[in-house]
Amino acid sequence: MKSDLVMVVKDLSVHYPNRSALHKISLDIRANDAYTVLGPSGCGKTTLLYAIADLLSPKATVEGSRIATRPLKKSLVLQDYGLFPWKSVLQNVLLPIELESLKVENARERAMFMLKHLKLEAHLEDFPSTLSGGQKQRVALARSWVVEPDLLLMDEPFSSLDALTREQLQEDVLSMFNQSKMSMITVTHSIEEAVLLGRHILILSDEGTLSHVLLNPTFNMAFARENEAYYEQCIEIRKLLKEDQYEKTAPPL
Amino acid sequence: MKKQPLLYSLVLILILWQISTWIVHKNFLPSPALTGQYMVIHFSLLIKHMSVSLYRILVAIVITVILGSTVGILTARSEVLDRVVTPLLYTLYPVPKIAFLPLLMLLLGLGDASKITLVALILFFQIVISVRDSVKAIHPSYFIAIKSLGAKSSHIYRHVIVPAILPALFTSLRISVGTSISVLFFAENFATQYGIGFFIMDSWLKLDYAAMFAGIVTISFMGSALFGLLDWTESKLCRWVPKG
Repeated sequence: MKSDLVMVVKDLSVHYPNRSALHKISLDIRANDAYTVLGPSGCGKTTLLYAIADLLSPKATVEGSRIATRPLKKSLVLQDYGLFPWKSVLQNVLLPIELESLKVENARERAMFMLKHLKLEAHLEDFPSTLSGGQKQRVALARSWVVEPDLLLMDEPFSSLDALTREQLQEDVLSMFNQSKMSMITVTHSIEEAVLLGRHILILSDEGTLSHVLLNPTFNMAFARENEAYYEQCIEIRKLLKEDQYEKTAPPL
Repeated sequence: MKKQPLLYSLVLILILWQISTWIVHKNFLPSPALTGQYMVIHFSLLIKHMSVSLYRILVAIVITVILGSTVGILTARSEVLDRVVTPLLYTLYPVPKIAFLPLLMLLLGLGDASKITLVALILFFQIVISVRDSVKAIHPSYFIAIKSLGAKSSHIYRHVIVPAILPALFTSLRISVGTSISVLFFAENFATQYGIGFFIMDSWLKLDYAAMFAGIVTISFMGSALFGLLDWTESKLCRWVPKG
């Protein structure tokens, strides 16, 4: 595993006109490393992801910094897939390549490779409205991987899928991560998913601060779900989340 | 268009028409057979007049789609422009555009320009409002998705905004084409000797009722052909829209 930094986030705070979303978040993102972000609803997980992706609304006020150590190719996978209904599966996957104006022959080969890998080759000319949720998310993943990103950002990518589809796609993500040099940051509500997909698990508090950063020794473990250490890690995170919640709601002494 | 229901509709219209002819029994309501005979004999004449009308409407559609879509998109994308343009639209939209025909003829002459401009004015407001509303209705996640792929502004227009507004644009065109044909019929009664509107009124003045009805049937076919063309174009450009 390379340990060089790809991005340094320092004292990042994000405010909107009627609320504060993040408060003094600092984070070092390393090459070929995996991070997951957990926290209660509305704590700023998606805001953090969008801040790293440079996609914050113009209404947001940003303090602090997020500095890439080199030009970074970023890809974002959205919770609602982000597929364009007027483009076929192949057109959706080719879009980032088209936007980068890469040579058409190479682009098509890479897209076809990704689509075959994700078992979508029978749906090239289909439109997203005809696909299942799992298929749509595979198309979204194929589109995000086809440009070989340096930094893959995923915002609750599997939350609307059934358990088996979710597990299969988590395996696909880990497989791609291991075959590439990309870093990935996944926002999730699921403790189990956070432990599966993150070597570093960041827990945000209700106030938008970074309350815990954990190093997950079970990340990339073979057959993790059959391993006791995986579940112990989940239990530890659950305890931390409950403690944060208790501190927030406990009456003063 | 599905062929069988269309055929049934045509047959029903012909039956009702024939029954009306028997009931009214006047020469100003010729039978379908007499009208059909006229159409066969004077086919090339009817085609000539219909072509002129079709040309005027199609040019108006092309100009208005380009101009109206541009204004609609820019109005939706800019709050400042929206605050300026929208009140103007709401004020001018209800004004009957037919009233502008004499002014247009003074400004643009007695030829096709004034007639095309009148039809374009009818279509323009429909298209601007429809396009503006459909741009505003585009879900923000599409903009986030395309920006996350590194898109520039031109990419956003090409890959998100233009495709997203197409279904609404075609709906708006279908709604306004009917009115446009009516307005063109009116406009072709002034300072022209070509066009199906002129043909119908000229036949009426000559008391040639078979010719008049032939003109009415022709304008109906022209309208159907225009709707058919819109449907066909939509089926090619909006393949993702579920049919039926």
